[in-house]
Amino acid sequence: MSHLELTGLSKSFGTTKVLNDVSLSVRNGEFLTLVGASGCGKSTILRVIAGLEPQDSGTVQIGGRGVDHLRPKQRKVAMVFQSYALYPHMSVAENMSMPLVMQRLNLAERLPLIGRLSANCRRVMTEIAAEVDAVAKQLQIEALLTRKPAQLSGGQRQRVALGRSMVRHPDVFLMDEPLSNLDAKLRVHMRAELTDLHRRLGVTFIYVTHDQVEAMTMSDRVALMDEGRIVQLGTPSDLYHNPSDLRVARFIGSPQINIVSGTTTAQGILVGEALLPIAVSSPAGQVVSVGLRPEALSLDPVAGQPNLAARLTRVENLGAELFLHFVLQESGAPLVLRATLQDYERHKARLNSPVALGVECARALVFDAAGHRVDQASRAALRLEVPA
Amino acid sequence: MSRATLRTDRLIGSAVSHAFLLLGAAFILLPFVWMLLTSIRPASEVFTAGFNPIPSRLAAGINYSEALTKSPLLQYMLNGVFVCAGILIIQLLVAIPGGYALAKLSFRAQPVIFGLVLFGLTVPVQVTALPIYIALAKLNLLNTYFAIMLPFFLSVFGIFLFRQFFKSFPQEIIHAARLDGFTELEIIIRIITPSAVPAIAAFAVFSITSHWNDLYWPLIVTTSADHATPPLGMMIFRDQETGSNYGALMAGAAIITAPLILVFLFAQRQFVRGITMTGVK
Repeated sequence: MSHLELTGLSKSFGTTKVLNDVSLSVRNGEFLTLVGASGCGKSTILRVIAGLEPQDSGTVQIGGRGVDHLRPKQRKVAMVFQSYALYPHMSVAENMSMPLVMQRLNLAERLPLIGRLSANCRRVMTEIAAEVDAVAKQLQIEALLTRKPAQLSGGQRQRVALGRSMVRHPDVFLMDEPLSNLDAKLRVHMRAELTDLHRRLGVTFIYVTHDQVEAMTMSDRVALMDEGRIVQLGTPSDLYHNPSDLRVARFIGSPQINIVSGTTTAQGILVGEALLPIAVSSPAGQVVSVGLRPEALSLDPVAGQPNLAARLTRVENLGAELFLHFVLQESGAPLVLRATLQDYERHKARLNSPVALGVECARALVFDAAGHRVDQASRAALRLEVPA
Repeated sequence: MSRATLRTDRLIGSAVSHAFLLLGAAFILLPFVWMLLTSIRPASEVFTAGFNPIPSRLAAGINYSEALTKSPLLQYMLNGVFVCAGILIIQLLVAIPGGYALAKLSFRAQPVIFGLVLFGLTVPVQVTALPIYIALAKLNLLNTYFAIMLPFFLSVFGIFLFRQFFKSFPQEIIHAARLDGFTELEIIIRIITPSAVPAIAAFAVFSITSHWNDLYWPLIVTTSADHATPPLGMMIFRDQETGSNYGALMAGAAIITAPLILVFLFAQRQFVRGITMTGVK
């Protein structure tokens, strides 16, 4: 069993607090993603789990056992780095066999040349070569085993780095932005391969990325981090549809969520001249941010529902769908609307012409000045659980 | 400006810069060329030839054979090889781990130790000569190879150079190695050192030339020809055997300079890479 438990982790570099009382519980076999802007502390968490950097306070438990006093190699974790971190002067096969060599041979047997004299060493080396071959086959890199890292493409290096982490059969895989050095097409491909690998191995993955698409598409759960704290932990659909904080709403989703400012009244929220009938917990007269996902807006205003007066400024055609960019007539705030090609053609909206946009108030997310979610009425109803 | 004038401008510019470089090269190489010319001149012409570069009669055979036979030149060179190799090996054994620790490990005393290394760079060898000499004399170790090598075992310049080189080594690879179970010493031996070949080549060139050519320290701690390194040997040779036979003396000088040139030619590419990569210049 290899569930992972972080309790009250804190870490500072000089005067900057990189981790601020982070607690996190990762289930056995779960794919958990830490996502956030650069500098939010997500990579530091990985290095603390791996034992590469000591925390100032807090504990790390893997499989129910405290590992804080253990050296990195004793923690049964493997890590894949953004730069792949392959040993440049060793062949692919040597790179992949290193973790096993270090694990199974003693210090004397590891000595170059002299070690080879021992029969045990030769036997172990043959075993290791067989295991490396098997992993290489799984990753389809068996043809590359004799090459040096410099002779490999980015995608191939990525696979070798994965292979090196797999040979040891670790309890936990730690991945530090492993796809960010790949080109866009390969990244999409490797995303699928990584989720596939996770399913096959059934081992706990902790995945760090700044790319919300990776977080949304690959993970069982996502922890969004900001300034050394976990802002929200939940399923991808939780974070998208039911963010607890304005930072989460802004970070997750592409195109970004539309934020318009409004004022609370007894009847709802006043945005410009439109009154959106949304119940909020804050008192009347407060300035709030109303978050509207691009699909919560429509070109068809519903009778009796409020609409927003806007002007079309730009059309992005993605083929199957379009992103229509508007500005609000009154405030000039930008809005993006997700529309199907049919909707767009039916409406024949022209650039710079005024349009009334329908608002699906049930999907609106309201945040107070501090960024906390305040529309409690819509909160429970909107939760979409993805079947396990 | 037309393309033609642009091209002439560039031609003139490159001619001027080449002229400067040639001038500099001539300035540095002239004594060397003179040494080679003198080494093939007959004794009678050494002072009378003026600046005529071409000797009237080739005396290379006489001069070189005299240099080789009348003095134990090969013995001196063997001493030089032994001393330089000994110094270099110990220097590397000290400087590579030292540089790694200063570049990649974090420990409380690190800034202080690095400061001391920088301070050590400013201490000339003459300052420590007397105490080391006295210690060696008291231990009865004068006139040994060990005495010639001792002060140079610990090269602060080497530690500094390797520290600069290792600074740019990716931290992630070291992290990966620690996760794979490498000990720190194995990281140095199996990961860091193979990547440091250019730095090692650069350092070796610096170290070998300075200790091959060193006259000051061997002169202090040895008096016998048995342990004399090439420059000291040349001095003994001049005093005892040849007196004023400058042709043979220059032939000897040419012979003892040759290995250095070979070493540099051999390590040139790595040397330049090492220098540019470490930022030591």
